[in-house]
Amino acid sequence: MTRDPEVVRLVVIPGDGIGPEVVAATVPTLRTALEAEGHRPDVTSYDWGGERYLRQGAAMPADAADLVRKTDAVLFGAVGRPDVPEHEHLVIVRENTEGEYVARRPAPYGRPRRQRHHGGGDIRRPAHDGKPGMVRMRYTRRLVRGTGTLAATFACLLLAACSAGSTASGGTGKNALNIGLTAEPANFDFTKTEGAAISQALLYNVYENLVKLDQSGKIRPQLATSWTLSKDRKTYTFHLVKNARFSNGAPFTAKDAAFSIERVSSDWTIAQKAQMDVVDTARAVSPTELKVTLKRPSNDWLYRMTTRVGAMFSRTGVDKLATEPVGTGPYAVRKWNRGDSITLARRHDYWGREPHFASVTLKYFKDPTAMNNALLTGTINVIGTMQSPDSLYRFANNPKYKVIEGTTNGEVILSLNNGSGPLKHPKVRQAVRYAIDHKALMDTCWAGRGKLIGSMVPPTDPWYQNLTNEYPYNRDKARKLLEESGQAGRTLRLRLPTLPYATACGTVVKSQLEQAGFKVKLDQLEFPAAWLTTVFKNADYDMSIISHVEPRDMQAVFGSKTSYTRYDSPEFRALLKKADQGTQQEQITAMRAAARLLSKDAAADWLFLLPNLMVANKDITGLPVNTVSESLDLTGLGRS
Amino acid sequence: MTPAPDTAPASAAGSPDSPGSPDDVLTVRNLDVAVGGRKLVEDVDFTIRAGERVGLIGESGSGKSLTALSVMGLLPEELRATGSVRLAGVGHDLVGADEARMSRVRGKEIAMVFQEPMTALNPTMKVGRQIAEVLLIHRTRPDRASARAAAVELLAQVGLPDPAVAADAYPHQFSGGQRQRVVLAIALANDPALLVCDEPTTALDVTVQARVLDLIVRGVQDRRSAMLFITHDLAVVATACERVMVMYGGRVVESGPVREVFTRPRHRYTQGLIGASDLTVVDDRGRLVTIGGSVPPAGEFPAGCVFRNRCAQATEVCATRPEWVATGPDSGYACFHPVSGSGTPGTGTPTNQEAGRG
Amino acid sequence: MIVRLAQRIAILLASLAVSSVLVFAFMAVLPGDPARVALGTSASDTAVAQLREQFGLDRPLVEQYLSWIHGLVTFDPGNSYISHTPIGPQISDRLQVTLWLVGTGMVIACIVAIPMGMVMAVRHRKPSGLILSALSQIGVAVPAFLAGILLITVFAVGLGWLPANGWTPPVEDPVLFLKQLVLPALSLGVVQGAVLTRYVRSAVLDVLREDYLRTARAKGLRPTQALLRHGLRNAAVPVVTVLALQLATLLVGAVVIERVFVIPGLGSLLLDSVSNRDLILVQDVVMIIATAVLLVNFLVDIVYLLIDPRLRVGAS
Repeated sequence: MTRDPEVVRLVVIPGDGIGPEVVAATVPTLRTALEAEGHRPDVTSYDWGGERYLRQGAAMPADAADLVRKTDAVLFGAVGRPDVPEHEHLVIVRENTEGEYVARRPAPYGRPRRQRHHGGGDIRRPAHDGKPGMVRMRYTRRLVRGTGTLAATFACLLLAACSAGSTASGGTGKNALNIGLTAEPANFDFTKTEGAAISQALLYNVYENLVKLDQSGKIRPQLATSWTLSKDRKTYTFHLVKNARFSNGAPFTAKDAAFSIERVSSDWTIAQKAQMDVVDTARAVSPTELKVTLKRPSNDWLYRMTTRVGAMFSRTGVDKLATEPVGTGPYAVRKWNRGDSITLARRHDYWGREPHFASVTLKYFKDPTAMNNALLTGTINVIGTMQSPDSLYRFANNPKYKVIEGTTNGEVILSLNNGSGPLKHPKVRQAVRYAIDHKALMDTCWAGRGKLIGSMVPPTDPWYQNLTNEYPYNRDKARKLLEESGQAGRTLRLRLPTLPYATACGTVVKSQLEQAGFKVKLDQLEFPAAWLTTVFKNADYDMSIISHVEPRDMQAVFGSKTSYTRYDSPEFRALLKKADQGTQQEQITAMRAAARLLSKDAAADWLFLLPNLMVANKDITGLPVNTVSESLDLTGLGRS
Repeated sequence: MTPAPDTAPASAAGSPDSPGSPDDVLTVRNLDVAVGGRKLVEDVDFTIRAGERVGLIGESGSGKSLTALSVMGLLPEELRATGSVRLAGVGHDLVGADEARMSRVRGKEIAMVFQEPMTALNPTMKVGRQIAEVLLIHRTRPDRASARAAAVELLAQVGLPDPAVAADAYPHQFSGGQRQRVVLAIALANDPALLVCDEPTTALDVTVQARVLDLIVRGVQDRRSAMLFITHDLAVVATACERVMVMYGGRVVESGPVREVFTRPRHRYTQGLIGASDLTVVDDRGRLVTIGGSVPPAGEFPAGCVFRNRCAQATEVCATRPEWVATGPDSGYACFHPVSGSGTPGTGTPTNQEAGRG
Repeated sequence: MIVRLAQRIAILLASLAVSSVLVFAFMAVLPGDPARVALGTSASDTAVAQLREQFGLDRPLVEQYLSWIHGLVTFDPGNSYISHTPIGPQISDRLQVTLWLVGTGMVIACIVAIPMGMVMAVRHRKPSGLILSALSQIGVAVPAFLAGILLITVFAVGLGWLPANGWTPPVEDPVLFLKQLVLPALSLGVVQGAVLTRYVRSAVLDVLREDYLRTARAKGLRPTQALLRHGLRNAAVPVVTVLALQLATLLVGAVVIERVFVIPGLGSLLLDSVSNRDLILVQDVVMIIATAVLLVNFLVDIVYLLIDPRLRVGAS
C-alpha cells in the first residue's frame, strides 16, 4: 500500500506494570512532537510482554518481527513480572542502523555495557557483525525530514530486563476497590435498555468482545487473537482464543460468536442494533475460527464490534440478561444493592490474566458532594466521574489524591434546529457560532476543564483535526450576519435539559448571544423524559445544549434529516458512505471532509468536549485517562 | 344549722405570732395579695375556730377567691401574698412556704372544693382512682387495695348510688352534681381540719344545689372540720354558715354572726347587698334595687374607704381609711357612716341609681 | 368500644379502596406511553405494541385495575417496566430502609421533644424556658438536609468518627449499619424534634391551665407530679396527632436526606421512577405510601380511643 510520506508508523509496546502508564503518558507527547514537525503518527499498540506470556504462553507472537519490520519506530515501555521467569523469552530481532534516542532511562549513551538483570534503561548500541544481539531498550526517532534516513531498531524483549514495577505484591492480592459513579444502571440488559450506565459497568469487565479499544482508540485483540480481511474487504476471518469460558461454565466457541452477532438484529431492541445491519452472514468455520461476511465493505463495522453490539454472549446464558449477565470477562456480578451499589467479583476460571482487584464495587451517588465526601472519608477509592469541576480544588493540592484529566467522546453541543425556525437560515447559524466565545464559556461554566473542539470529532478518533479556528469569536461579524439574514427580530428558544453542564452553560450562551444582538428565551425540560420527547423526538426547539457521549456519533446525530438536528445534507451523507466503504485511508480523508462540512454549514456549535475527570487515591494505578468507549475498563486497575 | 360552741373570746386583732386560743384552726393576719405594685387583697384579718362554718361573701372582683387561694398557697405565679396564715397542727406559716411543705398540707390539713365541677376531674382517669390518689399521697391508707375500698366508701358517703360501679367510671359518665360529690369526697377523704369551698354550688342546677350544700355541711360536721365558704349568694351563706365576712375591694368591710349581719347590717355596702337581694322591693319605676355604679377593676379601688365612690353617705372623711370597729370577738365593721344601731330591720334603705353622687 | 373499632376498620378499608382508584385513574390519564418510554425514542412501533401487550396495557381499564389490585393484595406485583426485574423485592428492600431511617428519626425526635417541650411549658415565663424556645425556633428553621450537611462536615469529614454516607443492611454488618444510621437519623430526628417540641409545649401549656391540674395540686401533688400523673395523658392527644402527620410526611419527605446520605430508601425510589417514567413502579410506591398514611391514621384513632375514654362512647 502506498504510504503517505507524512505518516510516521509507530509501534507501541506498553508491556507490564507501570509500562502501560508511562506509555499512555508518552504517546500524547510523541504525537504532539511529531505533529509539530508536520508528521502524522500512525500508532499501533501491541500487548506483548509478561502478561501475554502468562495469558498465551509467549511474550510475543511468532510473527512479531514481521509486524515491526515495516514500522518507523518502536516505543517500548517496560516488561517484567515477578511471577514470570527471567530469560525465558528472548526474542531476537534484526537490527538496522542505529538511530537517535528521544528518551532514555538514565544510562550512559553509547557505552557498551552488558547488564542482564535489572530494571532500567540500559541502552546499548547494537552489535555490528550482523549477529543477533540483545538489545534492551531503544527509543528511536525518525530523522528530521529531508534526510530521508530511516532508522529502525527493533526491540528485543528480555523479560526481566526492566523493572516493571510490581503491580501486586504477591500477585493475587485480596484487594478490593470502591469506585464512585453517578448513573446507576436500570438493569443489566444493554440489548434492550438505552443509556451508557450498563455498558460502563459490564463491558470489558463482565462481557468481552472479539476486539476491544485501547486507551489510544486503537482496536486491539480480545477474544479474537487476530483477524484478516479478505481482498474485497467484505469478509473478516477471526481467530479466537482457545480456552475462554463463560461465567456459567460453558466454553466460548465460534458458534457463540456467530450467535451473538446474529442475535443483535433479531433480539436487540435498542437503536444501536442497526450497526449490525451490514452483516450478511456470520459462520463458525471451526470452534476457533469465525467468518463474518458483510453486505458491503464497512470500516465502521469492526470499530462497532468493540462497542456493546460486539459483546459475546453464551448460547446458554441469555435468558436472564436483566439480572444475571453471563460473559467471558474477568469479573462476574456478585451483588446488586439497588439504588446503592454493584459489586463485581473476580472469577477464578477466567481465561486471561487475572485483574489485580479481587472485588470492585461500583457505588452510585446522585449528589456530587456526597461522592466527594465519600472519597475524603475513605468509603470509595476513586471518583469515576467528577461532576462538579469547581470542587476539584479540594483534591488538587492534596498529596493523598491524584486528579486525572483526559478526554471523552462527549461533545457538548449547542444544537441548532436546521429544519425549522430562524435557525433554518445558514447565516443565522453562522452568526450563532461567531457569537460564542468558547474559551470564556468553558472557563465560566466548567472551570476551564475540557477541550475546545470545532466539529463532532474528539481527539481520540483517527481522523481528528483541529477545526477550532474556523469560527473564531467575533461579535461584530455575528451581528452583521444576523442582520443580513433578516431574522434579527425573532426570539430563539433555548431549551435546556436538567443536566449540570446544560444549566451551567445555558446562561452563559444566552448572555453571549444577547450581546451579539440575538433575542433568546431560556427554559428547562426535565431530563430524560420531557427533553427526549420535546426536543429529541418532536424537534420542538430552536437551540438546546446536550452532550452526545456515544463514540463516533457524527452519523447518528447529523446523518439523517429525521434526526433531531434536522440537518439535511446529501453531500454529508455521501461523504460518510465513502468513509465507511472505502479503505482505511479513504475513511480518514472522507471523515475529515465530513467534519469540515459540518463545521462550515454550522450544523451545530460545538461548545467543548467534556473532560474525563477522575480523582483517586494516590496509590491506584491503571485508571483510564481518556474515555474512548462506553466501558469503564477495570481490568487494568491496580494498587501500587 | 347548729351554732358553733361558744369559745373563749379571741381578739380579732391578735398578734400575728400567737395562735390565739387552742381552738383556732385558721388564723389569718395582715394578708395582702399584690401583683406588680397593685394590691388586690389588702389587710385581711380573721380567725376560724374548730368546727366553725364561716362564709365569705362579696361580688366578683372583691378578692374573696384570692383570699382562699392564698390560704391554700395556690395563687397564680404573678401574684404575691404577704402576711401570715397559720393553721393548727402545722408548724410553719403557710404564706411563703415552699412547695414541699405546702404539698404535705394540701389535701390533708386543708382541702378545697372549687366552683366548676365539670372540669375539676381528670377526664382520662377513673373516679375511684382519683379519690384513692389523695389517700395514697398522704399515706392515710397503706396500699392500693385499702385505698380503693376507702374510695368506694367515700362515694357512698357522698350519696352516689352503686359506689363500687361508680368508682370504675370516668368523670364524663357523671352529671355536674355527681361530679361535685366526687370532688367533695376527695376533699373530705383525709378528714381535713379546714375545708375551703369556693362557690361549690354556683354552677349546679338549683334543685341539686340544696342537696349538695347539705352534703357539704354534714360532711364537715361529721368530721368536726372548720369550713371557709366563699360565695356571692346570701341565701346559701344563710343556710350553710354561722358567721359571715363581707369583702369589698379586697378588704373585709364587715363581719359577724350571719343573722346579725343580715338583719342589722352596719356597713353601707352590706346594706346595699341585703337590699339588692330582696326581690320584693321595687322603686317607683318598677325596677329592682341595686347598688349604684359598678365594681372598679381590681387594684383600682379608691384610696381611703374602698366603697366611697358608690356610697350615698360618703363624705370627705371617707377619703381616709376607716378603722375597724369591733362589735364583738369576731365581728365588726369599718365604716365612717354605718347604718344606725337600731336601723330598720329587714331590708336596708333602698337606694337608687343616683346614689353615687356625693 | 368494639363498635368504634369496627367503624375505624371499615373506614380504613374504604379509604384504601378509594385511594387505589384515584392512583390508578391518575396514572392512566398521565400523558406518555409507558411502553414507548421504556423502549426509548427510536423503538419501532411493532416493538412498542409488543411491549404494550406484554405489560397488559391493551386490556380494558377495569381489567387492568383489578389485575393490579390482585397483584398488590397477593404480594405479587410483577415486574418493573424499566428494569424488567420484580418490583416486590425492590419495594420491600427500600421500605425496610425507609422504616429504619424514619423510625429511628422519630424516636430521636420524641426523646428530644417530650422532655424539652414539658420544660419549656412549665418554665414558659422564665429565662430558661425562653432560651429553650429560641433554640427550638432555630431547629424549626433549619431544614433537615442542612443539618445533615453540617453533621457530615463536622463528624464525618472533619473528625472522621462516622461514615459520610452509605447504607448497609443490619444483617450484613450490624456495626457499620449502626454507624451509618447515626448521622441521618440525627438530622431527621433533631429537626423533627424541634417541630414536635413546639407542639408538646403548646399541649402542655393548655393542660397546665386546666382545672383538674388545680384539683391535683389541691390534693397535695407537687407541680411536676401533677403534670406527669394527670397532664401527660391528656396532652398526648394533640401530640399523637402531630406525630402521625410527621410520620406520614416523612415517609417520602426523607428523600432529601436519602440523597445527601446516599441511602436507598422509598423516597428516592419514587423520584427515580417518576424520572424514568416507570409508571407501574410509581403506581405501586404511591399506593404503598397511601396505605402507610392511612394505616398510621388508623392506628392514631385507636390510640385516641385508648387515651381518652370520652371518645369511646360517643358524645355523652
